Amino acid sequence: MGNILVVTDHVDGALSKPSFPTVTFAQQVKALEGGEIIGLVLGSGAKGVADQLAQAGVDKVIYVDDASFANPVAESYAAMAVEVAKEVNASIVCAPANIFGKDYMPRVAYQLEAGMVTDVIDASKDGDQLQFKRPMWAGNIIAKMAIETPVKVVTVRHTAYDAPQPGSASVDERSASKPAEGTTFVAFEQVKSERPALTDANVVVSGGRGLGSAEAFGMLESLADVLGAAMGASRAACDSGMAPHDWQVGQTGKVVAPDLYFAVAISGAIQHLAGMKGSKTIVAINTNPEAPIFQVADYGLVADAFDVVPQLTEKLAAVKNG
Amino acid sequence: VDMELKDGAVALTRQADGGEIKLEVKLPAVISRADMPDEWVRFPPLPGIMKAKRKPLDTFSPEDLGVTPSPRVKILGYEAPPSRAAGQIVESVDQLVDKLVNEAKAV
Repeated sequence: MGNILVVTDHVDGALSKPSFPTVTFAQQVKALEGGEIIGLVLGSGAKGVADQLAQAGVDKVIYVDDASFANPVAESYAAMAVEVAKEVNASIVCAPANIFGKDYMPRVAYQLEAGMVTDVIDASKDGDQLQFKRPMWAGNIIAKMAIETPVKVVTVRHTAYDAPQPGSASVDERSASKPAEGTTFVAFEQVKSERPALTDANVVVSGGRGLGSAEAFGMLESLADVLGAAMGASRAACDSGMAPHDWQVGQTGKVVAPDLYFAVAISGAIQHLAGMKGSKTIVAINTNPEAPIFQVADYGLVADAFDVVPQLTEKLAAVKNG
Repeated sequence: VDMELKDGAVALTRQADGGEIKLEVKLPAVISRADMPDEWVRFPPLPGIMKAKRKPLDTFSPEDLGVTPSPRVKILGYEAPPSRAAGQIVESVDQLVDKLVNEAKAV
């Protein structure tokens, strides 16, 4: 019955969006197991992020400031997280299951000799045993798992949890250096966009290879603009160069669960569904009435996207403005 | 998404939320890739397949390598994910807009 350490990450001076549902997971575990939730921020000149985390619903924040943490490099982040985990007597160490969590948490687990479960969507207790649920096989099966070691490492699927109960905590700021020996961070080439980030957006307009060209995606972008939506795409569309890899939704792309998801000219392969079937309302537009996407869609329109999307854009614009 | 071999290191580009990150990793390194672009898939040539039959296959047990496998994680069971309610086919854009606004209240 130790404490819960939440390892967060941040970008552009703000806590990453997936860090918040990770705090919610920690709150769920605290309700089951007790202990204190300690939030960890590693960065360089990132005090603002620590202050933000202090309001997010943790009991305490530890902020370690050092040039070695300016960018999330697995060796540095993991080494520091391990040191803090031992210091705060953490029995659970968790992080969002995003590109960063996936990168450094395995090292954390190894160094703590802890068992690890990734992509957790729920925690519960059966008698004395803490249990975790996670999706497998493109979300077609939910596995119930237990970690046998005293320290447990978890990455959390951010779409599975709502916003945490906010709170007020103190920030313990300190300095420690964990330089990486093997890995050098070179650059982060950010793609700045007027649109919301795919994983945060309430509405996503997504296109498949059936659209035929990158130009056709422009038609979807007009729809996205009317709705204030993010753009998504199937893997096939990305691999064909019709859409940037950044837009890929699916098992090997991003997992999203917006309020509204438009799947346009997307057949609905299970790997794509794995990335979006948690969406609240799904609309499918496809010329093929047998397309598997219609199995998960709430509303399906069997039609040619080129006929239908411009009309849809116009009518939704009228609704939004009227 | 991209890899380039340099002297004793690999220069990598990976996807992150909102852009791409470039790193350089010294070898030896473990590199994973979530999906394989079609042009990376290589089919073994027939002579290669034939030669493979004659290659040595060394078998080790975990003990030979000084490893004691002790599972740290246990799978307790499986269940089906929550199912979605059946959807409906709409006949026109007007009908779709009507449903989205009035029924799903999604817009």
